[in-house]
Amino acid sequence: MIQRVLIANRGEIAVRIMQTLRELGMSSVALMTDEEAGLPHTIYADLVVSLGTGTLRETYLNQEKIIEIARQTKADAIHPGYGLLSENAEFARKVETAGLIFIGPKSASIQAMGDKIESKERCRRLGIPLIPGLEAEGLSEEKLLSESQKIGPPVLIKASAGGGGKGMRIVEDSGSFKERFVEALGEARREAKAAFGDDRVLVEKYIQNPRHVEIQVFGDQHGNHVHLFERECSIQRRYQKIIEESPSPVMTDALRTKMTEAALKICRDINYVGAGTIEFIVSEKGEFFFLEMNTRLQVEHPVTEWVTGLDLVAWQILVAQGGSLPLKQSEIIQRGHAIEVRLCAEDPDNAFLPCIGTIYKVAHRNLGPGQRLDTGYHEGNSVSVNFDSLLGKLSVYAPTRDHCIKRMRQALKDVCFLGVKNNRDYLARILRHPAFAQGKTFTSFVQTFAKDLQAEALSPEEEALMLALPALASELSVGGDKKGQNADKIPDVFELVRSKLG
Amino acid sequence: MEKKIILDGREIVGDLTSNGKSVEISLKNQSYNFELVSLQGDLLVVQTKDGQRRHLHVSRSSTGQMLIDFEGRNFALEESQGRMLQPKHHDIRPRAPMPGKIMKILKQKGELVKKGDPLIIMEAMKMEHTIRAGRDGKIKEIFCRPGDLVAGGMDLLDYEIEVPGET
Repeated sequence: MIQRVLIANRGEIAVRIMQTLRELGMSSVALMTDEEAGLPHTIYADLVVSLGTGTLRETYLNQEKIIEIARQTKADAIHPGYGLLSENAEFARKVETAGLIFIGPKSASIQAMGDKIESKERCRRLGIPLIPGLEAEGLSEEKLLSESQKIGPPVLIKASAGGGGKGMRIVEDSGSFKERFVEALGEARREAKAAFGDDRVLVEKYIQNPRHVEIQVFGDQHGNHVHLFERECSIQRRYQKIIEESPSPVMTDALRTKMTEAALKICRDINYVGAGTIEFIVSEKGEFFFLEMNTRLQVEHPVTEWVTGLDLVAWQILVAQGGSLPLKQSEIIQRGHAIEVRLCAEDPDNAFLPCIGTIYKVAHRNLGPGQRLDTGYHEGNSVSVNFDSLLGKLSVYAPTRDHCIKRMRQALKDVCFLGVKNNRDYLARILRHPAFAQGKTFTSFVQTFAKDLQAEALSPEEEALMLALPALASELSVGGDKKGQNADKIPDVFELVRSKLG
Repeated sequence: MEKKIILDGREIVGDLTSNGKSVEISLKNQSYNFELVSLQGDLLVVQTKDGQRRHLHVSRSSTGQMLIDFEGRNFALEESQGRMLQPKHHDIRPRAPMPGKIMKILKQKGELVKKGDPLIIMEAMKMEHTIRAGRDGKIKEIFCRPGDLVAGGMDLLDYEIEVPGET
């Protein structure tokens, strides 16, 4: 049995994993860099070990060092979270070789599904629909260009080893296709090289107004596989998901049956163990195409946890130590509706440039029913330039989609991350958009409705209020910890009653 | 009394009369009255003339800015003192929008550029960002090299505005 788990990750996902470890009575070992002192993941852990300073390669991607820390701290398992080393087959193998449990799939599965070209070849064999494109790898610029011209624009260029939108570019139909293609290819290759150390790319037909719908799957070491329904993650910016929901507004029973069957077929073929996600593109006509498989816990897993009532991290740990899946397919029920938004430190009104600074306030009040905030920051923490811009994930649950949207709009007003510019109001603008309310979501939603998603100007009265603010808040001290000196201005209940009674 | 504030970099000028907890603002020939109902912790409750309540959360940053959360939107407010901060017209040097690493420089000294042309590619917070020309011109000087780590706000290059008719 697992007693102690080293979390080879940071931020909100490290905190999330620790919550389940506590519940299960297991202890946690967190990692940090010297600059991260004081962040929640360094505080909640039972034990924290510093990786020192340096680049990601020297810290959170330093495989030997992390395994050595696991040994020294007597951890018996490593949870990789998402990103970083989570889909690195070599790391999974090293963990296995070191006699530790890797809380994730077998290294062979990571390898089989990690390479986009290989995974597509497998799906082709299994008869799972694929988007028309080019599968050969390591092609020259000339070859990629000529093949792209054959497929016909719009064409999508993406990193062979990639994920998370890095190393991806779309080349649209236009007169100067060749030049645009060459420019985009260069950008994609550099980004891919920087992010994955591999600049191989592939090209494929770009599907217009597609939806991104993914199936959560789980497997155990006894050959059992189940799905935990779908998540729709069509609202994206620069190929990064920003709003996710379950169920998908476009899903029908028939389509769900076909997609979940396809997803389970892949799992059985590779005898998949642990949590995984099979991503599909769904066209306007309702066709679906295999995109890729993520062999790890997804960022947006809370959406699935809301609608199924299950703890996905607990399931990961259970199957990693040899347990059987706790529920049969027929016992897993999708109920109600859940939405998640990703709050990021970036300025939507200034080209989404990442922002850094000190967080003065995370939220104004306690979260209400059906609301959840996963964050890696406390008040007083700083957002630094060395990590990604995710401040937190706000997710809400309600019986219906309409109710869920309303609940999220309200929750967004209460969770603010004051002090660092962020995309909160932008997310609220998307949630207020009529197309979103109607469930007309597709991956280019934010580009298509860019004009509607611009910030609204303040009214003259609101501008006047801002002018009056320094005078009105003159008694405010630094940090805002002012005693309630004006409490006497709050109307007395009895006074109100008296005035009503005349 | 004339009152100036800079709200998210934009200047707002009006007239202010303060009478304890009641503030009168005159802006663009309209007058408004705001009354302080409560200031507890960082929660400020203000009542407008028609009796409507507005809730604001206000924090003062270490640099003296007022950080405002107003019904789901955030603003940074600075009180303008003395001389206004006018954007300088000759200041067209592209700057690093945030700290990061220079990945690639796409133009050379002396090269002509058109508005919107990519000039420099930098990486910050694990994403690649393209710095583009704000207007037509000619590259005068480049202040960085690929691989350089740059601070936010640092000038990356300098260029001259192209005079029409001249080549």
